[in-house]
Amino acid sequence: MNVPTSTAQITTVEDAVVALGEGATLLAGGSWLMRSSSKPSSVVRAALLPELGGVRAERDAVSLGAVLTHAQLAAVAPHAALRALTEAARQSAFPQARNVATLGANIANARFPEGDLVPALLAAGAELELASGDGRSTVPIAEYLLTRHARRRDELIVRVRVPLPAARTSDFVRLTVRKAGEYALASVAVSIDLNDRFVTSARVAIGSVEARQRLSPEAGQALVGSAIGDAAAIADAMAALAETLEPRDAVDGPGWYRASVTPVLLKRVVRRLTSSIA
Amino acid sequence: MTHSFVVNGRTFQTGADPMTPLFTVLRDEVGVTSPKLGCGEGRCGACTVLVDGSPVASCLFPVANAADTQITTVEGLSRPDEPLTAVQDAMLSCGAVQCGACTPGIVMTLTALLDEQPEPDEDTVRTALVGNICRCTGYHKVVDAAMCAAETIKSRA
Repeated sequence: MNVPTSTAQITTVEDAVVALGEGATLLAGGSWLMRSSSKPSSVVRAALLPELGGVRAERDAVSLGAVLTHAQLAAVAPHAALRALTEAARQSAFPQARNVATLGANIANARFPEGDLVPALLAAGAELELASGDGRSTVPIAEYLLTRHARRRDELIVRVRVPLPAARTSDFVRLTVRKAGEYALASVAVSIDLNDRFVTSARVAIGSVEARQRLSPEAGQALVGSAIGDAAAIADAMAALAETLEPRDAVDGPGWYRASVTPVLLKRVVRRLTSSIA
Repeated sequence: MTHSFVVNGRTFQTGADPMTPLFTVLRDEVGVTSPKLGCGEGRCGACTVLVDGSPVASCLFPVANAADTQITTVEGLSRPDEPLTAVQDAMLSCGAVQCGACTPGIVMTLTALLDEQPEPDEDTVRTALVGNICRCTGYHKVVDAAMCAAETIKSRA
């Protein structure tokens, strides 16, 4: 039987990549690893990798360290383009979970269709900075999610870059069975670029409804060209979204229920956005 | 390999496996038994302790991540020969303690809340308590206790 060890001396991403390639597991907050029935034989503590930490302002963007917790994300200086993400982080789960669960693990976990941060990042057009034995790369999150279940063993997410154009605003809503605290039955993130009150581009993303979080190009397109809050545009977007849903059944709720509430959540997010601009 | 951390002001070292829950190390090695095992999967909050001032579910917190942190449990809030804290007093005087299983976790969550937000409104208190499940009280008197403790702390300031 392997005696688990901790590789506490690893403090660089490059050394972490080597260790992961040799079979170590990255330990972030631990809330998933600690619930799994098998324990890793050796771990690399993400908290000890400085490159994975902190919030860095960039030109018209922000770079978020992968080890930032939901609580830390919720406290990032507000910018309307970032609101979907800070709201997702703030509304998710409950304090004990938000204080340890990280941005990177929320994205990388292939068995976590409920992850709240992912739809917000999809709507924001976020990019992931990755490191592996092949070196560094930058990948749009939508592309990463397609192969999330089959990434290299030695790859880790270092940072997440979120563009912050001045004319962009965003928001996020989630629905749980009870009032709060649980994984969402369905979540919707919307990010909109405005010219005066007119929508020039829009991204709608859904989470927990289907097997994988994703963008809904049809719903986003239906919002473009109208004034924000326009009832007909919202109705079109809801219908466009509903038409493409392939909802999943799970113990907390059946697929037909998720599909029925998701378009309503889209309407709620757009209305929240509309009143925040007023 | 050993992990070193401070529990209620005293430095402690453990050679436990890095993935051992902090909960287990606290109860079995350090000897603080206030955190309780409820669900064992980080949802009920009965195991809540503070790590560097933030509430965490100690049953899901790997002891490796506790290295070089300051951990606070109920035992660290007031000594046996000292008065109880405002939160502890309020939980008693407001009738917020029934079976007591959730109480240590709730006390830690409320202690952290009032440290960070000394004058919360009721909605803020309820939101802060989402990670602490209580089967007995229905939460009303717990919220009362939080508001009462905030008043007491404010009047002592």
